[in-house]
Amino acid sequence: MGEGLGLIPAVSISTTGLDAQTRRMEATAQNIANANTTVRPGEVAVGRQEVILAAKFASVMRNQTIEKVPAGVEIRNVVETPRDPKKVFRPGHPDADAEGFVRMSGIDPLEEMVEMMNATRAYEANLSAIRAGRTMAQKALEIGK
Amino acid sequence: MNINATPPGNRLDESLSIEPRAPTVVGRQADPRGGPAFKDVLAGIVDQVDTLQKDADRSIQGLATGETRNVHDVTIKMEEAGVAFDLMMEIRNKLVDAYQQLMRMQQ
Repeated sequence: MGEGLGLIPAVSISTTGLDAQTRRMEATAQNIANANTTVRPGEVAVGRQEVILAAKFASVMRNQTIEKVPAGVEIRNVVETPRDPKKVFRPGHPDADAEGFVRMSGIDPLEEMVEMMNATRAYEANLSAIRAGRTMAQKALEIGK
Repeated sequence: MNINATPPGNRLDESLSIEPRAPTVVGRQADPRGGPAFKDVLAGIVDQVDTLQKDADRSIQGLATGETRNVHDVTIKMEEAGVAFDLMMEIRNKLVDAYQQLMRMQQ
């Protein structure tokens, strides 16, 4: 984004917010999907994915000086933090150990639900910012009417 | 009026200071003040609006073919194209208005 006439103010900034929240939602979906994943004996449990966000700035030449202008948010990295696996007694399961215990990934579905709601609300907030920008652009066009 | 004497950033003064300059280009199409003709500016705006519309069209196609995953990119592109079109219409309305006022002078 960023090209075009730049008619809607701050739309390119809010778009990076939408992208970031979409990525967060993907990470949460991956965590929820793996809430019931079992761990093979001797292997490491699947970690909880977390998206780390950072502010983004762009350098623009203005009046012969380089200025830092806001450019939204960027995904710094996606970290995978291991959780303590839960031990469930399930003899006969292919991943059970000698005593009949199966290790499940320690992902907490409740925590993921909160994260999911958080990402959804943040996405909505970015959409509201875009909608406000569009209203501003349309109001500016009404000057001539 | 001296151009160098005008403070930087004062646009009104700058535009005034250009006035007394002698027209350098002779021809029917050229603007005597050296700037681009209004026709060209309008054509440029129409061109840009057209580019935005085509861009939006392409992203809709990308969504249909599975090339793009983000729905919000497509809707934002469509919105931008819509606002640009509104701006172009506003300019066109002003132009037609001015023409009609000129025509009324004959009555």
